[in-house]
Amino acid sequence: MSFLFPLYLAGAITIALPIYLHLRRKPPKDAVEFSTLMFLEPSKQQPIKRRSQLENLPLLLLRCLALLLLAAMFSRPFLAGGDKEGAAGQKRTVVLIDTSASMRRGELWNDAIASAKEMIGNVQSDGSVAVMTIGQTPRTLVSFGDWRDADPSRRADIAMKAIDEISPEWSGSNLGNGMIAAAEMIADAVGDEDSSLPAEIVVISDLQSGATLDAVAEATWPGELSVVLTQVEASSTNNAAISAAASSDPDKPTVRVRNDPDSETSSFEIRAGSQTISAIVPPGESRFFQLAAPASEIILGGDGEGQEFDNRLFLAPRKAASIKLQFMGAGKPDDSNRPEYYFRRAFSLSKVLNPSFVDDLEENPSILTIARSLNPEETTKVRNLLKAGGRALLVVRETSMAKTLGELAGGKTPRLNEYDGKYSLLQNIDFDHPTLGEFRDPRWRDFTQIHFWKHREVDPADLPDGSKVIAEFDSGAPAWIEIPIGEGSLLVMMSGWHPRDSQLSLSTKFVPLLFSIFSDAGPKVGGVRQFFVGDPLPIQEGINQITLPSGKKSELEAGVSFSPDEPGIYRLEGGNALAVNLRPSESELTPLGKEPLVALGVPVGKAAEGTPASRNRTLRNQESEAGQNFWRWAVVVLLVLLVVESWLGSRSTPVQLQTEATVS
Amino acid sequence: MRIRSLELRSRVVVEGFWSGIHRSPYHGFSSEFSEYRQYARGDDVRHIDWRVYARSDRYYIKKYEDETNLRCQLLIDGSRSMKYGSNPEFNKHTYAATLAATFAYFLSQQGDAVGVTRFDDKVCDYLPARNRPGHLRRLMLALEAPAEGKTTDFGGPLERIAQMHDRRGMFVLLSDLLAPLETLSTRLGMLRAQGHEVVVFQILDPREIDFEFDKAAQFTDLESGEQHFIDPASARINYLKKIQRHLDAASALCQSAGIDYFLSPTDRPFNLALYDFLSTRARRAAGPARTGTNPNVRSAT
Repeated sequence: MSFLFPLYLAGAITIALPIYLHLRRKPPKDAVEFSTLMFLEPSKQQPIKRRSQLENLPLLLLRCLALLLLAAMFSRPFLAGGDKEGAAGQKRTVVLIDTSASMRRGELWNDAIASAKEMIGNVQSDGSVAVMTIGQTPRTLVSFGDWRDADPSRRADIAMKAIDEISPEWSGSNLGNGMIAAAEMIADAVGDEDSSLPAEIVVISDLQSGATLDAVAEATWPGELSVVLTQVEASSTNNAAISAAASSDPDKPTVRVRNDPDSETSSFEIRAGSQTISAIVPPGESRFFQLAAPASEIILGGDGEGQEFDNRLFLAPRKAASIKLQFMGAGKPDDSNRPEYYFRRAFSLSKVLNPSFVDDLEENPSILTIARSLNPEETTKVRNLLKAGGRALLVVRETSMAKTLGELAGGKTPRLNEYDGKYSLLQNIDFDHPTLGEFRDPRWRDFTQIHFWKHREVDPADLPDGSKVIAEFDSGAPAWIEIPIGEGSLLVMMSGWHPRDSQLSLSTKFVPLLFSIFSDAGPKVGGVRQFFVGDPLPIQEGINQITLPSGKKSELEAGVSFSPDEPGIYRLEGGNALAVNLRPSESELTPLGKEPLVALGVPVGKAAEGTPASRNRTLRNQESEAGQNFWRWAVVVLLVLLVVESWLGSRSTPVQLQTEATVS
Repeated sequence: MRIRSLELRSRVVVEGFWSGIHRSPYHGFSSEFSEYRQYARGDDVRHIDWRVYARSDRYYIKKYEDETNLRCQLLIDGSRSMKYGSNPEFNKHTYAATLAATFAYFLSQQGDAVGVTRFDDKVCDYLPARNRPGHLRRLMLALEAPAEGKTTDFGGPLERIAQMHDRRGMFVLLSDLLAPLETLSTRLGMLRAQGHEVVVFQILDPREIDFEFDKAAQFTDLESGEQHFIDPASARINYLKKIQRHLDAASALCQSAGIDYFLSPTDRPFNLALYDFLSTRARRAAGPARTGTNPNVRSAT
């Protein structure tokens, strides 16, 4: 009898635990909850007499046997077969070259190319090589298939030529994705070859701390794979980066200058058109600077030659967002007794918002509020809009809107009652909900100052499944309800904000609440409107052409997103301009080291396990064990033991009680 | 409705208290007369005391101790240890909430602004001190919240509270103080340094003070969930020593910071606690706060 994983047999020593527990006196059954144990020290428990431990001997034996079986099961027993020698294979290597923007620094790119070529030149004649690059997304230059199909004498030349043709990009560094893609390429190549071949991923990168590694967090790595890190290092550690910051005045942009912790200089210069600002930023710190006038391109100088890759910042002229709004309510919009009056003022013309109020659902309003009963045709249109990912706010102003609520929610018509009390306040507000997250801070979370004079009561049981009550009235009735519909959602308020219903429209929370409800469709207040290289740009339908920063025009295909590949100002048909910048994480240049990768489970620098001969023997053992499957029988016996143990355990308790009762 | 019962409880305590000592509740402490000052150009003529003018033929301005009303913030410990009660129907948190409701009702009756802050290891609920119609009801609603917090940590919440209050006021801390006292000392000192008055009511269950348990049992810490086997017969003497040391430390800490400290077991009548509170106010009104012997400290036994 042999064992596939003999180390697990050490688990047999756990039988000491039941033996120890059987030697101990049973803990008292009385349990007391006490405010604190900080003034109490645990009392010692007396062991029971040696004679009495024999009473539960069968139970103890069963438990020990179960643990022994468990240990045996994990060590996977099998009957060893004959030994046959297998052929040793050669290594499979993926060369993964980082092409992110930070590789533009100094001589980094040339060093990286030289390392890659040296790596390929050292590959043995019967080894396999693939070459990939990783910026934001992985790209294959030479696959294992290309390598295999090429003439053996020209394989290295083909790979080196492919490397010569690439250049660093402007994207961020997603090393995690690159390593996963390389591992997948190795796994795909295994199908038609010997799976026991060792494999290696050679990462050639500056290994900056800003690299994204999320993808490797949950990856499982095969045992024969190792990752070799080849770090290229810049000669100068000076670097400073410029990025956009939120500004209260759109005409005076604010920029953030961040100096690298390893920098040796702290004096920089910010140039924007005719403006020049002198900036002193100590190493490892950030400073904010406000420009006196708008600018589309801002340049940071002073961090030395070869470090210019993150020294340009592009800003698009800030234009108020054009948003279509619709308020489906009864009465005139300028009647201050109606909710529409306040809705229009909350979304009035401002520096960040250029609203246009529409009356037809066909115009696909981004912000839709309903405060009256809908006819069947309107209901269908609103539901279609919600199913497609839209969001609408339903203000239940009267009990007759029950049918509309039921139809929009896609359930039965709920029964609505008019609340007949004096007034209500809000309670049980779910500040973890995204809509109300803005009010989480204790300074803003007091909603009790808002009186709700009237509201409609609905039984939560009448609402469709998935509905979530995010606020209640103090009568216990739902106040605000979120109902998911298809891809979108409907937010229902059981009381209006106009003076007849409540004081909500008079509260300072009213406008932030409306903006928060429509945060996906509404204007972004205070934020910076910018995009990063590699992210798809939000281009509206009907726009067919985009002007690139170089001045070239590019045709846009319908239904295909456009992702910029360099920073600059991209101009759309119709005059809109979009600023695209380098991803800020790309300026985090502190070397990552291998520890974070090891912590994420990446087999860094690990040689392929075992010699070929021992590896083959392990494989044969695995096959023998898989054919015999003794561990399954062990599971069956273990289950039977556990059933008997449970039965014995349950029998012993009443017997004891009976004995105690007889004695007493 | 529970809110009514809490309001009713506080009303019964306050009105019972006044009927017991035969004194009108409508004489506020915050409008205590301080001194006369001679009129100077620019002073508001409405404050001229015409009786003094009639007697002395001189214009005098009447000054008050504090021209604004008292702003009192009730700080309720909402940690899980406050859920402990030898009487399951009336635990420490219920006692603290009722006591807070009593103070709130009393102060709002005489026109002072009252607010409530509930905290555990962070500020959970915050209701600023106000005196408006309907505010008392909101206070009661906030006080109804159960003690579902985690561990007690005075550091973060008291620092946050200090940041949120720049106007001088009064803080009444209602807590079992069953936590390390080092941070409490610095944070209470910070509040005092900002000029706030601070009153501490340490609320303990009688069972926590005398540790009268009969049987050995598995004791579970309400905050950490830690379990120990405790035999009260052997553990009691040590426990009593340690809790007494802790109570003495809390008392000494408050004394050194010029803070009024009261130990309130949950079987202590509310009207006595209210009397403690008012005696503090009266003493504060009579003279400035001084560090030194604190006459309010009562023995735990």
